[in-house]
Amino acid sequence: MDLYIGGREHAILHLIYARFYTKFIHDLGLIGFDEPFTRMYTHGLIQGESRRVVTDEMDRYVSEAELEQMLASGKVTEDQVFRRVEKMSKSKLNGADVTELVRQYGADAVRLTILFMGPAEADSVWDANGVKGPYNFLRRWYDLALSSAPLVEDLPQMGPEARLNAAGRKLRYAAHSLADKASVEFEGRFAFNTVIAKAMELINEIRGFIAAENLTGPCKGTGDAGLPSRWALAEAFDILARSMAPFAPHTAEEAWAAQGGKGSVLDAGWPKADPAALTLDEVELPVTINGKIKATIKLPKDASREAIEHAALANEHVQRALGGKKPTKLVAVPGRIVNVVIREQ
Amino acid sequence: MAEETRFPDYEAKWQKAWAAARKLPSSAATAKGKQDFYILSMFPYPSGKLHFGHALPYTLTDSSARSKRMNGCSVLNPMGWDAFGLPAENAAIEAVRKGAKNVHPARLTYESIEYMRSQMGAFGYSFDWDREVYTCRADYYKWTQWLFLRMLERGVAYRKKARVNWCNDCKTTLANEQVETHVRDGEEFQACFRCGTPVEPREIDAWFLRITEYADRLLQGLDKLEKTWPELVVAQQRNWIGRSEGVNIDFAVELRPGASGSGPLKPPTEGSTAVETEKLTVFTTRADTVFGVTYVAIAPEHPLVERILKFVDARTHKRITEFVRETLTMTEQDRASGDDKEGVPTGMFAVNPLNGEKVPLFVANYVLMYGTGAVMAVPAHDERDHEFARGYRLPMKQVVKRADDKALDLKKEAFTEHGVLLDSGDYSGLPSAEAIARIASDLAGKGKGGKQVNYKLRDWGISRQRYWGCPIPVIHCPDCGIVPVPDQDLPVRLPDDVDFLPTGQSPLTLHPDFQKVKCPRCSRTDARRDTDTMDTFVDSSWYFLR
Repeated sequence: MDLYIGGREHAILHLIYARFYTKFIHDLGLIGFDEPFTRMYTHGLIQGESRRVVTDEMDRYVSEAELEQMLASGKVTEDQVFRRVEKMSKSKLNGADVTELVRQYGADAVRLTILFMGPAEADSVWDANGVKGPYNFLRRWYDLALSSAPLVEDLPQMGPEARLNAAGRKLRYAAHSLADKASVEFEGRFAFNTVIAKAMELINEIRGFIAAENLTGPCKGTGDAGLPSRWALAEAFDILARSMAPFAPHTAEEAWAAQGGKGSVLDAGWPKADPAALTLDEVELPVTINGKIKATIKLPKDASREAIEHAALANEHVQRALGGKKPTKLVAVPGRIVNVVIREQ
Repeated sequence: MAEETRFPDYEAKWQKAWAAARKLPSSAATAKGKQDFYILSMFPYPSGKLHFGHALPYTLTDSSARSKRMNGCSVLNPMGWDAFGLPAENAAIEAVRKGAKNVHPARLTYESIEYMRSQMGAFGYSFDWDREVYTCRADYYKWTQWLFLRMLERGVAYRKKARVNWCNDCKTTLANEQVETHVRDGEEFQACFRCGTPVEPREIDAWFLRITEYADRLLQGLDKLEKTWPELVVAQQRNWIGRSEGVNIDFAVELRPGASGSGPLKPPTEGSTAVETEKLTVFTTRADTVFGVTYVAIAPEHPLVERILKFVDARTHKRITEFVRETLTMTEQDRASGDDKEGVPTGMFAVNPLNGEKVPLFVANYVLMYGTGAVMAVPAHDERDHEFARGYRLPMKQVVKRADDKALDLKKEAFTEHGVLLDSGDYSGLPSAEAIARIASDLAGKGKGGKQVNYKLRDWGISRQRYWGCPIPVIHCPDCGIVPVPDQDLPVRLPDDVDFLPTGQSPLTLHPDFQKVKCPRCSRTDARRDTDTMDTFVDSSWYFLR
């Protein structure tokens, strides 16, 4: 077996017995291997916060809703409530019904919520509000895929040599970062929360991009001046659907189909990140003045220290703060940050 | 806002489309030239309802499976049910006791499976349902039994006495997790989880699998898995196997009639004769501390306990018997990690083969039947011995000092690191590691012990006196003894019409026909089938190969 996935609580007995049986069956000559699981992944526990109320009249666990009522009516004060994060259990009323959540928010939203709680190998704490973020993300994605379908449909063929503007390159960067991150996590620690975060970022980039590039209506053919931008947009949607298909397969299918994708997105192949798109040729550097971030400056990625310092001093926020004086100290860390220190004389 | 359409409203549509696509022969067959990828979630126990403990691994598994398929792999991702086991049987027992009719563990199990499968469907999981495995079905457990027979042929399965917890009120044996610690009049005791009756240890004949024969291979296999398995899991596996290199040392126990464990623990004066001398082998990883031994302790299960009881006075006899009984109902984990290290002096003394000193012999709860089931206690250099010795006011003797000569406060805590020996005869002045090697070879030369490798891992007892499990395919014949069921007679089916309420016997013994069988070897008609069922961990030990 290539990959075996299960809870940490079975890490000892079940695995040792399974390994023993495999060795015995191997010795019978029935199989050619004597270790059953090439790779093993153990996930943590999803826990819930229990609320135990202890007063002169009562000592019992209560649900979140009941506790809110008790607190609101003044029957119970906060210091009589003992909260503890522990394994979900019926008797402690700290569980959540996954099937009910699926009914309410859909399978994709619950799947994403579970993955978004943190690296799956660690224990995590269930938060009933946690489902809202992923749910809203899916909705934004779906709405955007539908509303921008005309922008990206029937585009003339264009290769990666298309001349993209800076905004287009930034969008490509966000899309390919997502594809790259997803590939890395599948081979690595399964910290899919970081992949979903990238997808959420990409949605924001897409939204901003459509507005900034002023894209409207269907493409007017090869002469359309916005063609490179439409092409970048189409690619971003394509990568989003394919990268998210393993996690939120229903929405990925729907978004894929809405933009005229052929067949099932699951047959469309795994997106390969273009290494050239994984570096931004322009970087944003934060500028601090006396330790507080006051501005950002945009520079070519390989700008020299002198160029960075020059650009920082030319920034209007910095100029205003300096008021014509020279900075006491100026430290540029290429690729990271610029620190400006101004001391009152 | 009432106008707002429900979002998402497309999930059921896609689930249907995927199911339909899977039926197409083109996608079902293993495509040529594609890389195979076999991914599996641990099979769930059909407990009734899907919860987060299921949703997380299945979401991970499904996401991985889908991504592998998109990468062009031919993915195998089956699902199944680890379906035998106590929870369904207990739920059925509870229901019947409350007056329910027609409740059966099988029915509860299959109802749970149906429900959980539909819940998995709602999540959009892409399992290969055409390869669904049920460990409780005869087409599966036939092979569980077949594998058991192969183990029996090769001596990997064998029979020996096993200790179980017994509730005299419920008339049943209890698994360790069904035993709870209760407190009455300030005294802790181990009680039945159902009725609170104190449990008693009992010995029964049971089947064991010789997993200890595989200890070294199980350890070596881990070396290869270090990069692809979680570090913690590899460490836990290693720790469970618990290989340790040490030294066996033979003490001599002098058995004296009328010996008493009461009063001051003074070794018998010269001239008072021992009736018999019994060899007592202790295992230690710290042979360098042997000159610091101030008592010897054995596990309550140690065979020597029975011998000692034949010699001691009535009062000591009673104390030891009660202590053993009480300790045997505790789990080993509790005994090993417990704060209360307790013991009873036996009145006997053991002779240290290296310095001839006579030290008192205890039965102690913190000594497990691991290694030899006996330890030489060195309170100055072992934490547990230190704790025990303080509780029982036993002497402490330092025989190892720090290599850098820094002062130690041994009253406060034991010095457990390696160092340099002192007050240890010819070995004084040697560093610990060298002393261990020298002592081991000297002992071997005298025929009083020598190097030894031990494992914490114990053989696996698989007999359960319960109904909802896989029948053990052997026949007990008055003439031939234990006779395996011939392969062609497999599976030995688990009958449905069994009264599974606890009575004190395996439920299958109450079935009118199950036991009745002709001996396959001598054809005697009064042979009987084994009525125990297998530990459910056996069922789940090979489902991934089905």
